[in-house]
Amino acid sequence: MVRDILRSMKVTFRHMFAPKVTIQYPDEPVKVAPRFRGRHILRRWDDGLERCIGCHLCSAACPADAITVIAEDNPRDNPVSHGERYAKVYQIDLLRCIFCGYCEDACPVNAIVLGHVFEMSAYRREDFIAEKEDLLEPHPKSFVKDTFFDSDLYKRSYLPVPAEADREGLIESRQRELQQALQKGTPPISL
Amino acid sequence: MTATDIGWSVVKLLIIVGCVMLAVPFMVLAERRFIAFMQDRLGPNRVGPAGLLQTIADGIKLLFKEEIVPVGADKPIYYLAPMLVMVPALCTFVVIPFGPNAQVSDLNVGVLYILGLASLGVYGIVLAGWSANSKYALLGGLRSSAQMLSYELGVGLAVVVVVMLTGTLSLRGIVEFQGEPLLPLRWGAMELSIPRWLLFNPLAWPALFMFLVGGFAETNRAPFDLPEAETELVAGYHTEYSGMKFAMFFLGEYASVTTASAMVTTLFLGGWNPPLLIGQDGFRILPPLAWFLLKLLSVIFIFIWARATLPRIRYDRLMQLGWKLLLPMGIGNVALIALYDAWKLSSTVGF
Repeated sequence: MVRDILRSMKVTFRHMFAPKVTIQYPDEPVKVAPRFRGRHILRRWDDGLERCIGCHLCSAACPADAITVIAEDNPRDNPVSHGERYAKVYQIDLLRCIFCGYCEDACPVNAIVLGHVFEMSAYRREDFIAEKEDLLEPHPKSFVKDTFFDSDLYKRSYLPVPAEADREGLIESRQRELQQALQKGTPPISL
Repeated sequence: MTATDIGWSVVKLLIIVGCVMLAVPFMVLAERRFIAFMQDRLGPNRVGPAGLLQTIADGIKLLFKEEIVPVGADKPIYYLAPMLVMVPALCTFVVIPFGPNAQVSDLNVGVLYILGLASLGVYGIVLAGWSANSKYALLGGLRSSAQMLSYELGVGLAVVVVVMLTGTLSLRGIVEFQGEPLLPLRWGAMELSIPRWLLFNPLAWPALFMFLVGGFAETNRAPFDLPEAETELVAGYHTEYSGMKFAMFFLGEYASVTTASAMVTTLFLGGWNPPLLIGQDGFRILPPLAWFLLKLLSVIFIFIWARATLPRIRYDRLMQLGWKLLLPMGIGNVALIALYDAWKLSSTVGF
Protein backbone atom coordinates (compact mmCIF):
# COMPACT_ATOMS: atom_id res chain seq x y z
CA MET A 1 0.00 0.00 0.00
CA VAL A 2 2.70 2.43 0.99
CA ARG A 3 4.63 1.56 -2.15
CA ASP A 4 1.61 2.27 -4.32
CA ILE A 5 1.11 5.59 -2.62
CA LEU A 6 4.73 6.55 -3.17
CA ARG A 7 4.47 5.52 -6.81
CA SER A 8 1.42 7.69 -7.37
CA MET A 9 3.11 10.55 -5.55
CA LYS A 10 5.94 10.22 -8.04
CA VAL A 11 3.49 10.52 -10.92
CA THR A 12 1.98 13.73 -9.61
CA PHE A 13 5.41 15.16 -8.90
CA ARG A 14 6.54 14.49 -12.44
CA HIS A 15 3.41 16.10 -13.83
CA MET A 16 4.27 19.30 -12.01
CA PHE A 17 6.93 19.87 -14.67
CA ALA A 18 4.94 18.57 -17.60
CA PRO A 19 3.74 20.98 -20.29
CA LYS A 20 0.37 22.46 -19.41
CA VAL A 21 -2.74 21.96 -21.49
CA THR A 22 -4.33 25.28 -20.58
CA ILE A 23 -4.60 27.81 -23.41
CA GLN A 24 -4.70 31.34 -22.05
CA TYR A 25 -7.41 32.13 -24.55
CA PRO A 26 -7.70 35.86 -25.08
CA ASP A 27 -3.91 36.16 -24.80
CA GLU A 28 -3.09 33.10 -26.86
CA PRO A 29 -4.93 32.13 -30.04
CA VAL A 30 -6.94 28.97 -29.97
CA LYS A 31 -6.00 26.52 -32.67
CA VAL A 32 -9.06 25.17 -34.42
CA ALA A 33 -9.25 22.04 -36.51
CA PRO A 34 -8.59 22.54 -40.26
CA ARG A 35 -12.20 21.76 -41.08
CA PHE A 36 -13.66 23.85 -38.28
CA ARG A 37 -16.92 25.48 -39.30
CA GLY A 38 -16.86 29.09 -38.21
CA ARG A 39 -18.23 32.27 -39.73
CA HIS A 40 -18.98 32.23 -43.43
CA ILE A 41 -16.79 33.71 -46.12
CA LEU A 42 -18.00 34.71 -49.56
CA ARG A 43 -15.13 34.03 -51.89
CA ARG A 44 -13.92 35.69 -55.06
CA TRP A 45 -12.21 34.37 -58.15
CA ASP A 46 -8.57 35.25 -58.60
CA ASP A 47 -9.53 38.03 -61.00
CA GLY A 48 -11.51 39.71 -58.23
CA LEU A 49 -15.02 38.88 -59.44
CA GLU A 50 -17.43 37.36 -56.98
CA ARG A 51 -17.97 33.64 -57.19
CA CYS A 52 -21.56 33.86 -56.06
CA ILE A 53 -23.95 33.65 -58.99
CA GLY A 54 -27.11 34.22 -56.97
CA CYS A 55 -28.54 30.73 -57.52
CA HIS A 56 -30.28 30.47 -54.11
CA LEU A 57 -29.08 26.89 -53.61
CA CYS A 58 -27.46 27.70 -50.28
CA SER A 59 -30.61 29.37 -49.10
CA ALA A 60 -32.61 26.34 -50.16
CA ALA A 61 -30.22 23.94 -48.47
CA CYS A 62 -30.10 25.87 -45.23
CA PRO A 63 -31.97 23.88 -42.56
CA ALA A 64 -32.15 26.92 -40.29
CA ASP A 65 -33.40 29.23 -43.01
CA ALA A 66 -30.67 31.68 -42.15
CA ILE A 67 -29.60 32.74 -45.64
CA THR A 68 -31.34 35.37 -47.69
CA VAL A 69 -30.26 35.82 -51.30
CA ILE A 70 -31.70 38.35 -53.71
CA ALA A 71 -30.20 37.91 -57.15
CA GLU A 72 -30.08 40.35 -60.00
CA ASP A 73 -28.98 40.18 -63.64
CA ASN A 74 -25.26 40.61 -64.02
CA PRO A 75 -24.54 43.91 -65.76
CA ARG A 76 -22.63 43.08 -68.96
CA ASP A 77 -20.53 46.22 -69.02
CA ASN A 78 -19.40 45.94 -65.39
CA PRO A 79 -19.85 42.30 -64.29
CA VAL A 80 -19.91 41.40 -60.62
CA SER A 81 -19.68 37.66 -61.12
CA HIS A 82 -18.84 35.28 -63.91
CA GLY A 83 -22.40 34.06 -64.12
CA GLU A 84 -25.59 35.34 -65.66
CA ARG A 85 -26.66 36.77 -62.34
CA TYR A 86 -25.07 37.87 -59.10
CA ALA A 87 -26.23 38.23 -55.52
CA LYS A 88 -27.44 41.75 -54.97
CA VAL A 89 -28.28 40.99 -51.37
CA TYR A 90 -26.61 38.22 -49.44
CA GLN A 91 -27.49 38.06 -45.77
CA ILE A 92 -26.78 35.43 -43.16
CA ASP A 93 -28.56 35.60 -39.84
CA LEU A 94 -25.77 34.36 -37.56
CA LEU A 95 -28.21 33.84 -34.71
CA ARG A 96 -30.18 31.36 -36.81
CA CYS A 97 -27.19 29.70 -38.43
CA ILE A 98 -26.31 26.34 -36.95
CA PHE A 99 -22.96 26.11 -38.75
CA CYS A 100 -23.82 22.81 -40.38
CA GLY A 101 -22.01 23.61 -43.59
CA TYR A 102 -24.84 22.54 -45.91
CA CYS A 103 -24.58 25.86 -47.74
CA GLU A 104 -20.98 25.01 -48.53
CA ASP A 105 -22.02 21.64 -49.91
CA ALA A 106 -24.85 23.12 -51.92
CA CYS A 107 -22.83 25.87 -53.58
CA PRO A 108 -21.97 24.93 -57.18
CA VAL A 109 -19.12 27.45 -57.38
CA ASN A 110 -17.74 27.16 -53.85
CA ALA A 111 -18.61 30.77 -53.24
CA ILE A 112 -19.66 30.29 -49.66
CA VAL A 113 -17.35 28.50 -47.27
CA LEU A 114 -17.25 28.36 -43.50
CA GLY A 115 -14.13 30.01 -42.08
CA HIS A 116 -12.23 29.70 -38.84
CA VAL A 117 -13.63 32.72 -37.07
CA PHE A 118 -15.64 31.85 -34.00
CA GLU A 119 -15.62 35.18 -32.16
CA MET A 120 -19.00 36.49 -33.20
CA SER A 121 -20.37 38.35 -30.22
CA ALA A 122 -22.22 41.61 -30.52
CA TYR A 123 -24.24 43.90 -28.31
CA ARG A 124 -27.34 44.21 -30.47
CA ARG A 125 -29.35 41.56 -32.24
CA GLU A 126 -29.23 43.54 -35.48
CA ASP A 127 -25.46 43.17 -35.52
CA PHE A 128 -25.78 39.45 -35.96
CA ILE A 129 -27.11 39.79 -39.47
CA ALA A 130 -24.03 39.54 -41.63
CA GLU A 131 -24.35 41.47 -44.86
CA LYS A 132 -22.57 40.68 -48.08
CA GLU A 133 -19.90 43.28 -47.34
CA ASP A 134 -19.18 41.61 -44.01
CA LEU A 135 -18.79 38.19 -45.56
CA LEU A 136 -17.05 39.02 -48.81
CA GLU A 137 -13.39 38.23 -49.20
CA PRO A 138 -11.44 41.42 -49.98
CA HIS A 139 -10.59 42.11 -53.59
CA PRO A 140 -7.17 40.66 -54.43
CA LYS A 141 -5.96 44.07 -55.61
CA SER A 142 -7.35 45.99 -52.66
CA PHE A 143 -4.98 47.58 -50.20
CA VAL A 144 -7.50 47.52 -47.41
CA LYS A 145 -6.02 45.77 -44.46
CA ASP A 146 -8.66 43.58 -42.99
CA THR A 147 -7.69 41.85 -39.77
CA PHE A 148 -10.34 39.25 -40.29
CA PHE A 149 -9.18 38.10 -43.69
CA ASP A 150 -5.49 38.82 -43.20
CA SER A 151 -5.29 36.76 -40.05
CA ASP A 152 -4.07 33.20 -40.24
CA LEU A 153 -7.48 32.08 -39.16
CA TYR A 154 -8.65 32.35 -42.75
CA LYS A 155 -6.79 29.38 -44.13
CA ARG A 156 -9.30 26.71 -44.71
CA SER A 157 -8.85 23.54 -46.63
CA TYR A 158 -11.58 23.47 -49.22
CA LEU A 159 -11.48 21.91 -52.62
CA PRO A 160 -11.24 24.72 -55.16
CA VAL A 161 -13.50 24.35 -58.15
CA PRO A 162 -11.43 24.94 -61.24
CA ALA A 163 -12.62 27.42 -63.81
CA GLU A 164 -14.64 26.11 -66.75
CA ALA A 165 -11.64 26.04 -69.07
CA ASP A 166 -9.59 23.96 -66.68
CA ARG A 167 -12.25 21.43 -65.93
CA GLU A 168 -11.67 19.18 -68.94
CA GLY A 169 -7.95 19.31 -68.45
CA LEU A 170 -8.41 18.26 -64.89
CA ILE A 171 -10.62 15.34 -65.80
CA GLU A 172 -8.04 14.27 -68.36
CA SER A 173 -5.21 14.46 -65.89
CA ARG A 174 -7.24 12.54 -63.31
CA GLN A 175 -7.90 9.82 -65.85
CA ARG A 176 -4.21 9.77 -66.75
CA GLU A 177 -3.29 9.40 -63.10
CA LEU A 178 -5.81 6.62 -62.77
CA GLN A 179 -4.36 4.78 -65.76
CA GLN A 180 -0.82 5.12 -64.40
CA ALA A 181 -1.92 3.99 -60.99
CA LEU A 182 -3.65 0.95 -62.42
CA GLN A 183 -0.55 0.07 -64.41
CA LYS A 184 1.64 0.38 -61.31
CA GLY A 185 -0.87 -1.51 -59.21
CA THR A 186 -1.11 1.15 -56.51
CA PRO A 187 -4.56 2.14 -55.29
CA PRO A 188 -5.80 5.21 -57.18
CA ILE A 189 -6.70 7.11 -54.03
CA SER A 190 -4.75 10.22 -53.27
CA LEU A 191 -5.49 12.34 -50.25
CA MET B 1 6.83 37.41 35.08
CA THR B 2 7.47 41.11 34.81
CA ALA B 3 5.53 43.63 32.82
CA THR B 4 8.20 43.77 30.11
CA ASP B 5 8.02 40.00 29.70
CA ILE B 6 4.30 40.22 29.18
CA GLY B 7 4.80 43.11 26.79
CA TRP B 8 7.29 41.13 24.73
CA SER B 9 4.97 38.15 24.69
CA VAL B 10 2.17 40.31 23.36
CA VAL B 11 4.43 41.72 20.67
CA LYS B 12 5.58 38.23 19.64
CA LEU B 13 2.01 37.02 19.71
CA LEU B 14 0.86 39.81 17.44
CA ILE B 15 3.72 39.22 15.02
CA ILE B 16 3.15 35.48 14.83
CA VAL B 17 -0.63 35.65 14.55
CA GLY B 18 -0.27 38.44 12.00
CA CYS B 19 2.19 36.38 9.99
CA VAL B 20 -0.09 33.36 10.09
CA MET B 21 -3.10 35.38 8.99
CA LEU B 22 -1.03 36.87 6.17
CA ALA B 23 0.46 33.53 5.19
CA VAL B 24 -2.86 31.70 4.90
CA PRO B 25 -3.96 33.40 1.64
CA PHE B 26 -0.63 32.59 0.07
CA MET B 27 -0.84 29.03 1.31
CA VAL B 28 -4.23 28.70 -0.32
CA LEU B 29 -2.80 30.11 -3.52
CA ALA B 30 0.26 27.85 -3.34
CA GLU B 31 -2.03 24.89 -2.87
CA ARG B 32 -4.23 25.82 -5.80
CA ARG B 33 -1.31 26.44 -8.09
CA PHE B 34 0.69 23.38 -7.09
CA ILE B 35 -2.34 21.16 -7.52
CA ALA B 36 -3.07 22.80 -10.84
CA PHE B 37 0.47 22.15 -12.02
CA MET B 38 0.26 18.54 -10.92
CA GLN B 39 -2.92 18.25 -12.97
CA ASP B 40 -1.26 19.84 -16.04
CA ARG B 41 -3.23 23.05 -15.56
CA LEU B 42 -2.00 26.55 -14.83
CA GLY B 43 -4.20 27.48 -11.90
CA PRO B 44 -5.18 31.01 -10.93
CA ASN B 45 -2.69 33.41 -12.50
CA ARG B 46 -4.73 36.42 -13.51
CA VAL B 47 -5.01 38.53 -10.34
CA GLY B 48 -1.73 40.26 -9.69
CA PRO B 49 1.67 38.94 -10.77
CA ALA B 50 1.48 35.13 -11.11
CA GLY B 51 -1.91 35.27 -9.42
CA LEU B 52 -0.44 36.35 -6.10
CA LEU B 53 -3.45 38.46 -5.20
CA GLN B 54 -6.04 35.84 -6.12
CA THR B 55 -6.86 34.74 -2.58
CA ILE B 56 -6.86 38.32 -1.36
CA ALA B 57 -9.49 39.05 -3.98
CA ASP B 58 -11.38 35.95 -2.88
CA GLY B 59 -11.19 37.13 0.72
CA ILE B 60 -12.58 40.53 -0.20
CA LYS B 61 -15.34 38.78 -2.09
CA LEU B 62 -16.17 36.68 0.96
CA LEU B 63 -16.24 39.81 3.08
CA PHE B 64 -19.02 41.25 0.96
CA LYS B 65 -21.03 38.07 0.74
CA GLU B 66 -24.39 37.72 2.38
CA GLU B 67 -24.38 35.95 5.71
CA ILE B 68 -26.89 33.15 5.39
CA VAL B 69 -28.46 31.55 8.42
CA PRO B 70 -30.61 28.53 7.59
CA VAL B 71 -34.15 28.30 8.92
CA GLY B 72 -34.19 26.20 12.07
CA ALA B 73 -30.50 26.72 12.75
CA ASP B 74 -29.46 26.85 16.39
CA LYS B 75 -28.31 30.42 16.11
CA PRO B 76 -25.92 30.94 19.04
CA ILE B 77 -24.12 27.69 18.29
CA TYR B 78 -24.23 28.39 14.57
CA TYR B 79 -22.41 31.67 15.18
CA LEU B 80 -20.02 30.17 17.71
CA ALA B 81 -18.87 27.20 15.63
CA PRO B 82 -16.58 28.96 13.14
CA MET B 83 -14.85 30.74 15.99
CA LEU B 84 -14.40 27.45 17.77
CA VAL B 85 -12.60 26.16 14.72
CA MET B 86 -10.42 29.17 14.09
CA VAL B 87 -9.42 30.28 17.56
CA PRO B 88 -7.89 26.99 18.78
CA ALA B 89 -6.08 26.66 15.47
CA LEU B 90 -4.51 30.07 16.01
CA CYS B 91 -3.85 29.45 19.71
CA THR B 92 -1.51 26.58 18.91
CA PHE B 93 1.01 29.00 17.46
CA VAL B 94 1.77 30.27 20.94
CA VAL B 95 4.03 27.34 21.78
CA ILE B 96 5.54 26.58 18.40
CA PRO B 97 9.26 27.33 18.47
CA PHE B 98 9.95 29.09 15.18
CA GLY B 99 13.45 29.93 16.37
CA PRO B 100 15.46 30.13 19.60
CA ASN B 101 13.95 33.54 20.32
CA ALA B 102 10.81 33.27 18.26
CA GLN B 103 8.55 31.39 20.61
CA VAL B 104 5.85 33.23 22.47
CA SER B 105 5.72 30.91 25.43
CA ASP B 106 7.63 27.75 26.24
CA LEU B 107 5.04 25.77 28.14
CA ASN B 108 6.50 22.77 29.91
CA VAL B 109 3.56 20.74 28.53
CA GLY B 110 3.68 22.27 25.05
CA VAL B 111 3.00 19.03 23.22
CA LEU B 112 -0.05 18.27 25.31
CA TYR B 113 -1.26 21.83 24.85
CA ILE B 114 -1.15 21.46 21.09
CA LEU B 115 -2.82 18.05 21.17
CA GLY B 116 -5.54 19.46 23.40
CA LEU B 117 -6.21 22.46 21.19
CA ALA B 118 -6.18 20.32 18.05
CA SER B 119 -8.89 18.16 19.59
CA LEU B 120 -10.83 21.23 20.65
CA GLY B 121 -11.08 22.27 17.01
CA VAL B 122 -13.33 19.26 16.41
CA TYR B 123 -15.96 20.80 18.65
CA GLY B 124 -16.30 23.63 16.19
CA ILE B 125 -16.78 21.22 13.32
CA VAL B 126 -19.24 19.00 15.19
CA LEU B 127 -21.23 21.98 16.43
CA ALA B 128 -21.24 23.53 12.97
CA GLY B 129 -22.67 20.29 11.60
CA TRP B 130 -25.17 20.04 14.40
CA SER B 131 -26.45 23.60 14.48
CA ALA B 132 -26.90 24.19 10.77
CA ASN B 133 -30.07 22.07 10.53
CA SER B 134 -28.86 20.35 7.38
CA LYS B 135 -28.39 16.65 6.77
CA TYR B 136 -25.13 17.10 4.89
CA ALA B 137 -23.63 19.25 7.59
CA LEU B 138 -24.77 16.82 10.24
CA LEU B 139 -23.16 13.89 8.44
CA GLY B 140 -19.97 15.89 8.07
CA GLY B 141 -19.91 16.68 11.76
CA LEU B 142 -20.56 13.06 12.69
CA ARG B 143 -17.78 11.86 10.48
CA SER B 144 -15.42 14.42 11.89
CA SER B 145 -15.99 13.31 15.47
CA ALA B 146 -15.56 9.64 14.62
CA GLN B 147 -12.48 10.37 12.55
CA MET B 148 -10.92 12.45 15.25
CA LEU B 149 -11.40 9.73 17.85
CA SER B 150 -9.68 7.13 15.73
CA TYR B 151 -6.74 9.29 14.77
CA GLU B 152 -6.11 11.06 18.03
CA LEU B 153 -4.89 7.73 19.40
CA GLY B 154 -2.30 7.27 16.70
CA VAL B 155 -1.13 10.85 16.99
CA GLY B 156 -1.06 10.63 20.78
CA LEU B 157 1.07 7.50 20.69
CA ALA B 158 3.41 9.08 18.14
CA VAL B 159 3.87 11.96 20.53
CA VAL B 160 4.48 9.52 23.37
CA VAL B 161 7.26 8.02 21.30
CA VAL B 162 8.81 11.44 20.80
CA VAL B 163 8.51 12.24 24.48
CA MET B 164 10.12 8.92 25.43
CA LEU B 165 13.02 9.55 23.11
CA THR B 166 13.61 13.18 24.05
CA GLY B 167 12.54 13.04 27.68
CA THR B 168 10.62 16.30 27.65
CA LEU B 169 7.15 17.64 26.87
CA SER B 170 8.37 21.13 26.12
CA LEU B 171 8.64 21.84 22.41
CA ARG B 172 11.75 23.92 22.92
CA GLY B 173 13.26 21.05 24.89
CA ILE B 174 12.47 18.65 22.07
CA VAL B 175 14.13 20.91 19.51
CA GLU B 176 17.17 21.48 21.70
CA PHE B 177 17.51 17.73 22.21
CA GLN B 178 17.57 17.29 18.44
CA GLY B 179 20.26 19.94 18.07
CA GLU B 180 22.83 17.80 19.89
CA PRO B 181 25.33 16.00 17.65
CA LEU B 182 24.50 12.39 16.90
CA LEU B 183 27.22 11.28 14.56
CA PRO B 184 30.53 13.15 14.46
CA LEU B 185 32.17 13.22 11.03
CA ARG B 186 35.50 14.61 9.99
CA TRP B 187 36.09 16.33 6.66
CA GLY B 188 39.63 17.69 6.46
CA ALA B 189 40.14 20.02 9.37
CA MET B 190 36.42 20.62 9.69
CA GLU B 191 34.46 19.01 12.39
CA LEU B 192 31.06 18.05 11.12
CA SER B 193 28.33 16.22 12.85
CA ILE B 194 24.83 15.10 12.11
CA PRO B 195 22.34 16.28 14.72
CA ARG B 196 20.08 13.84 16.51
CA TRP B 197 16.95 14.62 14.62
CA LEU B 198 14.34 12.00 15.27
CA LEU B 199 14.16 11.62 11.49
CA PHE B 200 17.60 9.99 11.69
CA ASN B 201 16.47 7.62 14.43
CA PRO B 202 14.90 4.42 13.06
CA LEU B 203 13.05 3.95 16.33
CA ALA B 204 11.02 7.08 15.55
CA TRP B 205 10.13 6.22 11.95
CA PRO B 206 6.84 4.49 12.76
CA ALA B 207 5.97 7.47 14.93
CA LEU B 208 6.74 9.85 12.07
CA PHE B 209 4.50 7.84 9.77
CA MET B 210 1.72 7.79 12.34
CA PHE B 211 2.04 11.47 13.04
CA LEU B 212 1.96 12.37 9.36
CA VAL B 213 -1.08 10.19 8.62
CA GLY B 214 -2.77 11.39 11.78
CA GLY B 215 -1.91 14.96 10.82
CA PHE B 216 -3.71 14.57 7.50
CA ALA B 217 -6.70 13.17 9.34
CA GLU B 218 -6.70 15.73 12.13
CA THR B 219 -6.65 18.65 9.74
CA ASN B 220 -9.43 17.07 7.65
CA ARG B 221 -7.27 17.12 4.59
CA ALA B 222 -7.33 14.81 1.60
CA PRO B 223 -7.18 11.79 1.61
CA PHE B 224 -9.06 12.05 4.91
CA ASP B 225 -11.34 14.97 4.07
CA LEU B 226 -14.43 12.94 4.87
CA PRO B 227 -16.12 15.67 6.96
CA GLU B 228 -15.96 17.91 3.92
CA ALA B 229 -16.30 15.30 1.14
CA GLU B 230 -17.49 17.56 -1.70
CA THR B 231 -18.52 14.62 -3.85
CA GLU B 232 -20.80 13.14 -1.22
CA LEU B 233 -21.80 15.82 1.27
CA VAL B 234 -21.90 19.01 -0.82
CA ALA B 235 -19.40 20.71 1.50
CA GLY B 236 -19.82 18.71 4.69
CA TYR B 237 -19.94 20.56 7.96
CA HIS B 238 -19.73 24.02 6.39
CA THR B 239 -22.39 23.45 3.73
CA GLU B 240 -24.67 26.11 5.18
CA TYR B 241 -22.01 28.69 5.96
CA SER B 242 -21.27 31.67 3.78
CA GLY B 243 -19.25 34.85 3.82
CA MET B 244 -16.77 35.44 6.59
CA LYS B 245 -18.03 32.53 8.69
CA PHE B 246 -17.02 30.23 5.87
CA ALA B 247 -13.75 32.10 5.59
CA MET B 248 -13.12 31.39 9.26
CA PHE B 249 -13.48 27.65 8.67
CA PHE B 250 -11.08 28.00 5.79
CA LEU B 251 -8.63 29.99 7.85
CA GLY B 252 -8.92 27.45 10.65
CA GLU B 253 -8.19 24.59 8.29
CA TYR B 254 -5.09 26.20 6.86
CA ALA B 255 -3.91 27.36 10.25
CA SER B 256 -4.19 23.81 11.53
CA VAL B 257 -2.32 22.54 8.48
CA THR B 258 0.43 24.96 9.38
CA THR B 259 0.32 23.77 12.98
CA ALA B 260 0.50 20.13 11.94
CA SER B 261 3.43 20.88 9.66
CA ALA B 262 5.14 22.89 12.36
CA MET B 263 4.64 19.97 14.74
CA VAL B 264 6.18 17.53 12.26
CA THR B 265 9.07 19.93 11.87
CA THR B 266 9.49 20.38 15.58
CA LEU B 267 9.06 16.80 16.68
CA PHE B 268 10.86 14.96 13.89
CA LEU B 269 12.82 17.30 11.66
CA GLY B 270 14.82 19.04 14.35
CA GLY B 271 12.95 22.32 14.42
CA TRP B 272 15.29 25.21 13.80
CA ASN B 273 18.45 23.06 13.73
CA PRO B 274 20.41 22.76 10.49
CA PRO B 275 20.80 19.25 9.06
CA LEU B 276 24.57 19.40 9.49
CA LEU B 277 26.46 20.92 12.38
CA ILE B 278 29.77 22.46 11.37
CA GLY B 279 32.52 23.16 13.86
CA GLN B 280 32.42 23.09 17.63
CA ASP B 281 29.84 25.80 18.15
CA GLY B 282 27.55 24.51 15.44
CA PHE B 283 28.15 27.11 12.74
CA ARG B 284 24.98 27.82 10.82
CA ILE B 285 24.68 28.59 7.12
CA LEU B 286 21.17 29.95 7.48
CA PRO B 287 19.59 31.62 10.50
CA PRO B 288 17.53 29.23 12.65
CA LEU B 289 14.24 30.82 11.63
CA ALA B 290 15.04 30.21 7.97
CA TRP B 291 15.74 26.54 8.64
CA PHE B 292 12.47 26.24 10.47
CA LEU B 293 10.47 27.93 7.73
CA LEU B 294 12.21 25.87 5.05
CA LYS B 295 11.23 22.64 6.78
CA LEU B 296 7.77 23.97 7.53
CA LEU B 297 7.15 24.82 3.88
CA SER B 298 8.45 21.43 2.77
CA VAL B 299 6.02 19.65 5.08
CA ILE B 300 3.18 21.90 3.91
CA PHE B 301 4.16 20.96 0.37
CA ILE B 302 3.79 17.29 1.33
CA PHE B 303 0.28 18.08 2.54
CA ILE B 304 -0.55 19.73 -0.79
CA TRP B 305 1.15 16.98 -2.75
CA ALA B 306 -0.81 14.28 -0.96
CA ARG B 307 -4.03 16.14 -1.67
CA ALA B 308 -3.21 16.29 -5.36
CA THR B 309 -2.39 12.60 -5.45
CA LEU B 310 -4.59 10.54 -3.21
CA PRO B 311 -8.31 9.96 -3.58
CA ARG B 312 -10.56 10.14 -0.55
CA ILE B 313 -10.43 6.99 1.51
CA ARG B 314 -13.64 5.13 2.24
CA TYR B 315 -15.22 5.76 5.63
CA ASP B 316 -14.88 2.24 7.04
CA ARG B 317 -11.34 1.97 5.66
CA LEU B 318 -10.47 5.11 7.53
CA MET B 319 -11.69 3.60 10.78
CA GLN B 320 -9.79 0.43 10.02
CA LEU B 321 -6.62 2.36 9.33
CA GLY B 322 -6.95 4.24 12.58
CA TRP B 323 -7.86 1.41 14.91
CA LYS B 324 -6.29 -1.61 13.28
CA LEU B 325 -3.09 -0.17 11.91
CA LEU B 326 -2.07 3.06 13.59
CA LEU B 327 -3.07 2.10 17.11
CA PRO B 328 -1.24 -1.27 17.19
CA MET B 329 1.67 0.34 15.41
CA GLY B 330 1.84 3.04 18.05
CA ILE B 331 1.62 0.59 20.91
CA GLY B 332 4.30 -1.54 19.27
CA ASN B 333 6.55 1.47 18.81
CA VAL B 334 6.13 2.57 22.40
CA ALA B 335 6.82 -0.97 23.63
CA LEU B 336 9.88 -1.18 21.40
CA ILE B 337 11.35 1.99 22.82
CA ALA B 338 10.48 0.94 26.36
CA LEU B 339 12.30 -2.36 25.82
CA TYR B 340 15.25 -0.59 24.23
CA ASP B 341 15.48 1.81 27.18
CA ALA B 342 15.19 -1.05 29.64
CA TRP B 343 17.94 -2.93 27.83
CA LYS B 344 20.16 0.15 27.83
CA LEU B 345 19.45 0.73 31.49
CA SER B 346 20.17 -2.86 32.40
CA SER B 347 23.42 -2.81 30.49
CA THR B 348 24.59 0.35 32.26
CA VAL B 349 23.34 -0.51 35.73
CA GLY B 350 24.04 -4.18 35.29
CA PHE B 351 21.26 -6.40 36.47
